[in-house]
Amino acid sequence: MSFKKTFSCAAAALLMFVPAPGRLAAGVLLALEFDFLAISMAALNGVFSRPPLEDLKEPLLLALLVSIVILLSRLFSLFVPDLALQLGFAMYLPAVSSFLTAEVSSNAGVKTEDAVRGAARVCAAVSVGAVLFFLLRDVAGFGTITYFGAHGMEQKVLFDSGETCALTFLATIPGALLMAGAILSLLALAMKKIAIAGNSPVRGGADD
Amino acid sequence: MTDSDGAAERERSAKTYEALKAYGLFALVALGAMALLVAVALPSEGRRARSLGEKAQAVLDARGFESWKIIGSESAGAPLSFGADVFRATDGGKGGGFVVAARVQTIYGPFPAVFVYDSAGGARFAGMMCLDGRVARAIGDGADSKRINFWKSRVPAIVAEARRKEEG
Repeated sequence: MSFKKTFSCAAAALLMFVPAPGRLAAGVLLALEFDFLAISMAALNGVFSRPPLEDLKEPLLLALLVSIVILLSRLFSLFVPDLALQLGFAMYLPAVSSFLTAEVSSNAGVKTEDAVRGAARVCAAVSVGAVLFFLLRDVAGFGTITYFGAHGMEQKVLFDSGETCALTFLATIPGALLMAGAILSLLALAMKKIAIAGNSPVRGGADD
Repeated sequence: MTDSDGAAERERSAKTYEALKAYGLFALVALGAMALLVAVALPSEGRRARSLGEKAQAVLDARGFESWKIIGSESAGAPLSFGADVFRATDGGKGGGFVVAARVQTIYGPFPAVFVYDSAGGARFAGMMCLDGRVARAIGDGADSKRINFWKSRVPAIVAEARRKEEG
């Protein structure tokens, strides 16, 4: 999958995280959900492209996607019920971007392994972006760090001067939009550098 | 019947067989997914309610509602709905009431707000679940928040609906 397609899919996925609360635990959960959905959809796309199911591929994939997302949301509500109640419809948003990722990575003529590899590249970019996005919002915006504990989501207050400060803006939804733009710019830069390094004719320079 | 008619008939049968196989597989996969969903959804309801009840109790204890003790849960919506949860509670020696945890959309994103409700005192906002620190203070008091006041006014209807479902 080309750099442009990988970046477009990663950007679409990251923007789906904007309505979610800016807590690290929520970000990890949503990123894992996206990774699972995108990779399984890319793999199933290959499986259902063979006879006799190739004509029913799209409805079958959509039916499975809806079932898997509802199943995952039930599992979230079982193990992290407070976070599931908090996320609400945000739990279903990664389904949209994961379907797009699977469709883009599984173009006609692309082998299933290559499609899964392409989806995995998007997942890696999304996971790094999501962790950065939610970690910065959690620590700088809310002044807390959230993690998974025995009773669902736990949190520790890191900074609390007793008043709201300018950084609290990052905890808001408009702040999340701004932060998403910044993270996407960083991600584009990092992916471009990696692509340039990967295509460079000078490899293993340390051996010379 | 000529040979060509027979061949056409066999071709039609083969096509019908292929189509039936495809739709059969489709139905099987879809039914399997639904069965898995029901198998996970139904048993998880009790554990979810218990766990959320503990979190709501922690908010009550921390925000000056220590006399309120959650004693059970009521079904607040469809089995797949996560919008609000209703719990039965006692208010010390003063009698029974309800605790409602409802997802409230704020400028900081959605957070579960905890309310207490009894017929004498009406609905009161206790605090936000999953939220401590400066943002909790910014929205957590809720005294002048239009959103909190909106949900406070909705609490009696949510409790009435939950009770109707529980009794029905």
